[in-house]
This record gives sequence, structure tokens and C-alpha cells, in this order.
Amino acid sequence: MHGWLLLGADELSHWLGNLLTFRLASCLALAGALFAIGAWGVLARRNVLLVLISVELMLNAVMLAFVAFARAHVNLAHVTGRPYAGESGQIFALSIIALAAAEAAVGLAIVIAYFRNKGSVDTREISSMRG
Amino acid sequence: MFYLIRTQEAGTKDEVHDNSVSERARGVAPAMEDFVFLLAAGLCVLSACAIVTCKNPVYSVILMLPFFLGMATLFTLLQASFLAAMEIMVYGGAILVVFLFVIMLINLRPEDLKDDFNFATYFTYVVLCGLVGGMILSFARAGVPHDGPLEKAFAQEIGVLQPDEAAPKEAAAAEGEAQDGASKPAAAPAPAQRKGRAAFGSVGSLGVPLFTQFMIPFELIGLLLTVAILGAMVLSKKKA
Repeated sequence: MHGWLLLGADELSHWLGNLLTFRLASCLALAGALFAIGAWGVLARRNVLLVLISVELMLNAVMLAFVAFARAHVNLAHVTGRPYAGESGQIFALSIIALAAAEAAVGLAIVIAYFRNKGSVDTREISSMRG
Repeated sequence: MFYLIRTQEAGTKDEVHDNSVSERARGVAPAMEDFVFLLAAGLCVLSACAIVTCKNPVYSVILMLPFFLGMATLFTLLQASFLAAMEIMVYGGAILVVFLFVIMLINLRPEDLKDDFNFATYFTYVVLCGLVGGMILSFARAGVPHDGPLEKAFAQEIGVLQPDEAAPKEAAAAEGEAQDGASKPAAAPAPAQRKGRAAFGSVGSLGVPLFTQFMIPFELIGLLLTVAILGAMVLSKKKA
């Protein structure tokens, strides 16, 4: 049993192989990376449109995690005894698509209304509701 | 329930492939699947990085297209063909065009596109990189709980638990499947389940639960979309 920070070369190559093959762990790692990229966009960018686009990236990452788990559930249906768990995951991802469409419509309408009133899409200038 | 953190002994390449997702795919060889996965993942990550760092939002929106194409490829690999089609149609076809319309509509001046990257943004970047790095490292090497059958199965699927440590019967069933796909009806799952698996991700396999088990959420999504459209119309209407 090795400690957490001791990285042997063969172990490292083994984990790297784990992440570079098509499997649940690599899909989840990819989803986490995409979610973090989107979260950085939301936190760091000042353009409201880019913030909305970054939210779409985050929703896509969550969808990827759902679909990866759905696939794992289908692969393991004979173990878990839940043959339709995979379909549930995909339906959840489908509803995320619908939610993203609704969110984009409302968010962009707010952006248009704000730009019409204030002439800016900079988040630093959107402070009229600050207490 | 306890969480057993175990580091993994270095296994051979065969052991790595024994319990991977890829061997149970229909029709695609594992190596090819890995290659396509890496290609799509790289496309997604690169275009996502470009999307959040582009100065001009028009470029960001255009770069969303390769991102969605990569996501659709990943969905296809994950046997979610209907979702891949929806991804292309709804995201690539509708949401992207709406974003582009709005950017053209509000007609940004060059001075609106200024975006300063100060200490806070870099600090956020470092923190997020640390979080993601720790998470990926955890996926790669840390243990997952494997007490019940589901935990065991996921542990095998993730690769932290070798099949021989779990119940040998399950491992044998999984291996039998890995070899002959969905064609041989000899192993544990019932024929009806196998049929469902073969059609998994298609319109039919999603439509039946969508209109029976998940009917109320489905109708609620319809209601939500109606409300969102009405809200968008009210919000963007010019005041008389």
C-alpha cells in the first residue's frame, strides 16, 4: 500500500492508461474538466453572453456524466437488477437539454432587455440591484 | 458502510481491458473506440478552453459547434444515439443560432469587448485547476466504496476493483459478454433485458419510459418551455 503522493512510474502509467481508455472513470474525468472550464468562464468573464455560454458548457458536462453513468448501468444491468436504470439517466440528460434551451431563451431575453436599457453587457456594470 | 481506500497494483494491459466499458460495445473494436474517445475528448476540451478565453463572443459561439460535435461523438460512443442527435439539433441548431442572433442584435462596440484578466481570475483558475486535478487523480488512483453489489460493479467498471475480487460469478458473466457481445443468450441476464440493451439509447427505448414512467416530468418540461417562451417574449418586448 503506497501513500497518496508516492508515484511510481509503472503505477503512473497504469493510471494514465486508465484515464486514456474509454471507460466510466475517463468520461467522468472529462466531464469534471469541462465543468471546471465552464465554471471558470462563469466566474472570470465579464461579458454576460460569455457567462451564458459557459453555463451551457457546464450543463453539457453534467449531461456527459449522466450519459456515462447510464451506459455503466446498462453494462451492469445483470448485476444491479435494474434493466431500465440506463434509460432513466438518458431521460434526465434529455430534460437537461430542454432546461438548457429554456434557460438560454430567458437569459438572452434578459440580456437584450438589459442592453436596451443600459447599453452594456458588462457584469461589472450590472449593479443596480446591489443593496 | 466504510470507504476502503486502496491503491491499485500495476496491472498488465489485459487486466486493464478486462473490465473496461469498451469491450462491451457493439461492433466497435476497443482500440478504435479509445482512439475516437480521445479524439472527441481532445476536441471538446480544446474548444471549451477556446470558448471561455476568446475575446470576441462571435468566435466563442462559432467554437461551440466543434464542442457540440465532440459531445455528440461522445454520446454516440456511450450508446446514446438519440441524445447525440438531440445535441446536434437543439444545441448546434437552435441554441447556437439564438446566441448568434443576440450577439448580432446587440451590436457590441470594440470597447465592450475589453475583458481584463486580473489577479482574481488567475486565482480562480488555479483553484479550479487544483480541484479538477485532485478529482482526476482520485478517479485514477483512489478507491471507491465497494460494499454492496452496485458498489462492487461500479468499482469494477471504474477499474479500482479487479473482477476476481468481486463475486466470481458476476465476473464470469461480464467476461462472457465481453467476448461475444449481445448475441449469445447463455449468460445470466434475461432475453428481454438483452433485447433492451441492444436497442439502448434508441428512440424507442427512450420513448416508452418517457411516456409511461416519466410522463409527469415530461409534461412539466413542456410547461416549463411554454413559460420560458412567454417569459422571453415579455422580457424582450420593447416598452410602449
